[in-house]
Amino acid sequence: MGLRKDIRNLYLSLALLFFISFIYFACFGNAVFFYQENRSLFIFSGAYFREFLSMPGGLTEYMGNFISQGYYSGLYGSLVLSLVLLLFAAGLFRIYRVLAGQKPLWSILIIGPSCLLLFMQMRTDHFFHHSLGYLFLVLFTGLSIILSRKGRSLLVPMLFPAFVHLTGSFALIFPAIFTLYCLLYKKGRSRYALPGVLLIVALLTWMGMESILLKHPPEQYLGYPLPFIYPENLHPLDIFLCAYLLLFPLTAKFSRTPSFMPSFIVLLITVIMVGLLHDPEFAKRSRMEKFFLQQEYDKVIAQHEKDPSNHIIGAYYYNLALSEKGQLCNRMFHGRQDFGEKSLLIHSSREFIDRSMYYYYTVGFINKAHHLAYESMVLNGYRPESIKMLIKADLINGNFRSAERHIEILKKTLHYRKWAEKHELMLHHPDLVLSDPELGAKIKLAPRKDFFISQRDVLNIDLMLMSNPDNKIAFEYKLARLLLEKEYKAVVYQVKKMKDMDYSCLPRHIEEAIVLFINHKHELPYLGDFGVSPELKNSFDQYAAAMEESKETTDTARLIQTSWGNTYWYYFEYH
Amino acid sequence: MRLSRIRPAIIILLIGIFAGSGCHTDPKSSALVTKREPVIEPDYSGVTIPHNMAPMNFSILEEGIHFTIRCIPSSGQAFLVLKSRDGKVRFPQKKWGAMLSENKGKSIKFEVAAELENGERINYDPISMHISNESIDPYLCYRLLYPGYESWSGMKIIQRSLEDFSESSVFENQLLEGNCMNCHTFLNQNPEEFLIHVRGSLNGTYFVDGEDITRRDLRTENMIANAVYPAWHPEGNYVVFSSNEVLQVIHMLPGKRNEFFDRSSKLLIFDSDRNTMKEIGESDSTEYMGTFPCWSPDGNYLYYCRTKQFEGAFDLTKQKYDLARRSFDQESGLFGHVEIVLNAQETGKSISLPGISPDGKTLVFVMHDYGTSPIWHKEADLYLLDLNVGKFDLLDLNSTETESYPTWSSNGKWIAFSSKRGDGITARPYFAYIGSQDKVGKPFVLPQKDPTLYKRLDQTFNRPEFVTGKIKMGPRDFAAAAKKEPVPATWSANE
Repeated sequence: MGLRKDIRNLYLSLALLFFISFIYFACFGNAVFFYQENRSLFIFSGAYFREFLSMPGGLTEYMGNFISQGYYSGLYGSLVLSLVLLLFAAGLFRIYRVLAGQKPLWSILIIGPSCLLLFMQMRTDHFFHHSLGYLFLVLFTGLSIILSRKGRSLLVPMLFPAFVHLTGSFALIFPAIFTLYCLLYKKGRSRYALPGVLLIVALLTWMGMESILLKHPPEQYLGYPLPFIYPENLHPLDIFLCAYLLLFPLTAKFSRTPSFMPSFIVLLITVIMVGLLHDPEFAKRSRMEKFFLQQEYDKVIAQHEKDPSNHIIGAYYYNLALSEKGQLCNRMFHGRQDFGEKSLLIHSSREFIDRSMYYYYTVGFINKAHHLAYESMVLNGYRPESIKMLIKADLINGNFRSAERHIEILKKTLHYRKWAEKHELMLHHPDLVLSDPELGAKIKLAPRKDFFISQRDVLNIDLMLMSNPDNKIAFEYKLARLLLEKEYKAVVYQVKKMKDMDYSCLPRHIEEAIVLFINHKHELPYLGDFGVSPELKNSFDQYAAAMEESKETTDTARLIQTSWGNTYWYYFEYH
Repeated sequence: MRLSRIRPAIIILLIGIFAGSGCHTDPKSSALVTKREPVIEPDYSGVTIPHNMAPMNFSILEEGIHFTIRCIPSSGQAFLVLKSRDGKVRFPQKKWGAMLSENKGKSIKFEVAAELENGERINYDPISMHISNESIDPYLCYRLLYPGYESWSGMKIIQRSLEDFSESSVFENQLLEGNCMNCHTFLNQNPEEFLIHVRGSLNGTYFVDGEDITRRDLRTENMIANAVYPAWHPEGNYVVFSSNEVLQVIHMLPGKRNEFFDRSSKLLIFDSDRNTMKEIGESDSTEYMGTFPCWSPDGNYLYYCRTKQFEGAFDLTKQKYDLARRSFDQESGLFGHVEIVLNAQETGKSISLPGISPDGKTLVFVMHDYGTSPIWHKEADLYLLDLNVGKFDLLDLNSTETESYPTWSSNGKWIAFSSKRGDGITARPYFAYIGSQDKVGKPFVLPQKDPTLYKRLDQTFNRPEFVTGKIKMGPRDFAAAAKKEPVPATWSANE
């Protein structure tokens, strides 16, 4: 006895959907895992659990965070997200079977919502607990229908308060689904009485919560985890899926001759939609960000030079990675610098606070990096990278007791425990901090005299250089800004300081600026013992000749880009 | 077989090591006895505590799989014996209360014995706590928030019973659109008369009077900024505020962090009968900035801190505040001339946050190197000034980290203050017995049910204030008051 054709079609469609989802997230869409993993920190502690326990819907988020803590593995994330699609479909299928019995199944009614969920899961603001919320809604609906079929209808309103506590605002939809179910499938008094009782219980539940949960205003717990009471804040896909679930009891009234074609078309449309919704630019810059956070600076540099990001964040991480490698003024024009000096430092707004702290850390403004990491913690809660930054800054500054508290937090996590244990060894051992390659290098960059950081970055760099004249990273940032602002004359006037800063030779782009300076027939200032290599002068002569020629032929313009696209001269001329 | 042969040798060796390092075997119990107290956290060893204090729970930071704690009053009979596997010592509330009330004016010893994994037992020297005859006010009110730089999220004003571990929110900013709030101040520590200031969209000063809350808008167009640092006149009809135009900067040198300072500040007096705000002008030709007002208990003097108003660029490290006072005529509401109580030039430091004892004889204050933000200065310490003699002394209770926000209990025998001695960043509420200027008890941190709480809590306890009873108002009451339009104060021209 084989499976019924309609059921077989459904299983086949679901298997294909699982495959599509898995391949997409594993190969193309794993940036979403990196993004989300960096925005929450699951802590194995009673206090962390209690934080979520007090809020309706908090348990769903807690479970979501528990599962998504493994998102640092793209394969794990792909598997989990794809499995949710199957479970979601399985829940709907069960409801359908209870309602429609043995009627032929139109499988697109079941796989359609899972396809919607797949699109939603591609979004960075759709976290795993949102998927769990939808899944719980479907499972509770199924359970309620089964209970009411078995003559235990009153259990539904009895269980409802617990469901509210579990899923928060996801539970808001349930009374409507159940009411529709009762109106369509129930007979006699219970057709109206059951929804009536449920609605009364629902009202009492939410009113009770308002009086018990003093610290949460009603709009907060009615709008969490998803703001269902404010549809204008909902994504259209959420609205669409909610509307579908609301009307789902109607689907059992449909009956079609089973055919694989409609499902196949839905899956085809899904593949096309996935392709359209995929954001390759986001994937690219997320990859760069991930490499940067993993301190794989060579990979950041290689990525931007080979396949550049069109976003300012990509260029920002490229410049930071070059700085960390001491290559900023030697290599910065090997990658695209479309955003000029703006990509040296991104502003510290709430959106970018987690990123702007790296600039300050790289340059040696450790207190400012601590400031931003702390602000991030206050505004966004615990995030792994901001906690790591707090720990590093506190270790560098010798605030060991403060570092200890945050190390204890990371020790209670799955992915960051080892990192925390490594840094725990440095607590109360300044010698170990100093000998650490990363932290020791930052200590050497730190200011030696106090000053107040200002709103003006140019001034901050000058203040840093006055406070610690040996800070080469700050010095190169100063030069890089001047280069990007095309202030090559100002760059040349800084060269004389480089001898005292232990430069054995001039960085490549500084040399190029000097050549430009000479070419513009300015009187060359004192350069210390530094000079320009004859090869570079020769290269510039060839470049200048090619420039002349390019006015006549487009081929030469291409040649210039190929041969001199990674020079300051090219940036100076064409940006 | 081999192990059984080796074990006695190891034991003998260990005993030898312990004996060499100041341990010996107790002949009665065959346990090892150390010549030191166990390390406990919080450090409650040798503290003087009020007889109505909540259980002083602590953690034993010594090796051991099992601990026994025997509480022995001066009678010599163990009153209470506790056992702990994780080193956390939690005293039962009722027995603790009975033990303290039976031992007023006496000391209690806490004998700690640790059992090691190898079955050995170590007896430590007992820890001692002295139980004072003087009680402490039953409640402490404080603001709980992140010690952040600029941003804030959840912020609460909490009342915590000092006699047990019960606590409740008085105010939660989540119910008031997440706005920042500050400056909870009580009239004579009365739980039914206090005020809280709220910034932002639901701004105003919320005055609690019994069961009523009045939201007032004290800021008039004549003021440079909101009214902060309130000081309630003991008679209740006046509140002095300072209106401060504050700037914030961040230090770049390791070890320093944040800095707030006033670009300008003025003292203002609110007359609650007339609903008027008025500047407390100075007749001096030099312009001064005044802040941190505080009344003498009889209401006849207003103490405050002041420094010369700067213009243009200036060196913040040279900005030092004097302690000044002015007499006050309660009938006319007029102030007398300025008297300098303590000159910053003489002290070489900046004075802030003065508070006068209920008997009016002693003034506790904070001194730090410069400026007006002691909470961000590691060197900020508490001092006592004898108002009759004019002599001031550094208090023994200070640490190498920040001490600030000192406040007196209603009987003048205890002070509460914020100290960052734990980690240098988060402030915790500490208490100390003040017998006299020379007789100050070792400070102790507010005990918590879970003695490890301070180690993991990121939030700071800001502005601790003693309260003589339980506050009945709660967050919902303030949320309801916030829905009403604020009552605007009117500006009254200076005399």
